[in-house]
Amino acid sequence: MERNLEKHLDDTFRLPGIAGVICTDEHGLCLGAKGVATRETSGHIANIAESAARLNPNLPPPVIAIESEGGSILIKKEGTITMGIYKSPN
Amino acid sequence: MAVPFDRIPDSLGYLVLTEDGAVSGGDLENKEDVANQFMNIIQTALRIPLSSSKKDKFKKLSIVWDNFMYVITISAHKIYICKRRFIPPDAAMA
Repeated sequence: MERNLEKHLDDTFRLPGIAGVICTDEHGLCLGAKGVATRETSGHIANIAESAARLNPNLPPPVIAIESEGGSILIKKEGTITMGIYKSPN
Repeated sequence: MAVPFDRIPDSLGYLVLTEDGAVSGGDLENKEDVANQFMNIIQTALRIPLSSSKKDKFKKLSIVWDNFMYVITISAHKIYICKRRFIPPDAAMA
């Protein structure tokens, strides 16, 4: 049932510079995780996407970038799905 | 202590949150509810491990919409939030 999603996650994970990828639903349930992304963070990822969207509820959900020396995460909510992409440091 | 947010290009507003209180200006002036929302976001972001090192906390947190963004950083026990105009790179090339 999740073959399509798994394929998309795999395709994304194989791109250069991508260290991990995670997909969650609006409740924080982890739908898939690859690489350095762990299932345990799915709740936080979903929460941060929802909280950021509530800053401006009249606008589409924003892109959230969390950056550190160890890498960065890009998070975007689209409908009921939230994606997180872990990028390796340059 | 005045923070020179006017030196940040395209700055639309700012919030500085400390243990003792807050300083704000521009679009974020006196927006206490927004400050509380930012605190929730920051506390969640601090819980997300970015690498195998547990000490690796975020240096910069950006929340980006089409035309503007909030850029957040923490330094010396202070949280700095700046609202800035966002100009996508493609628009600059056109």
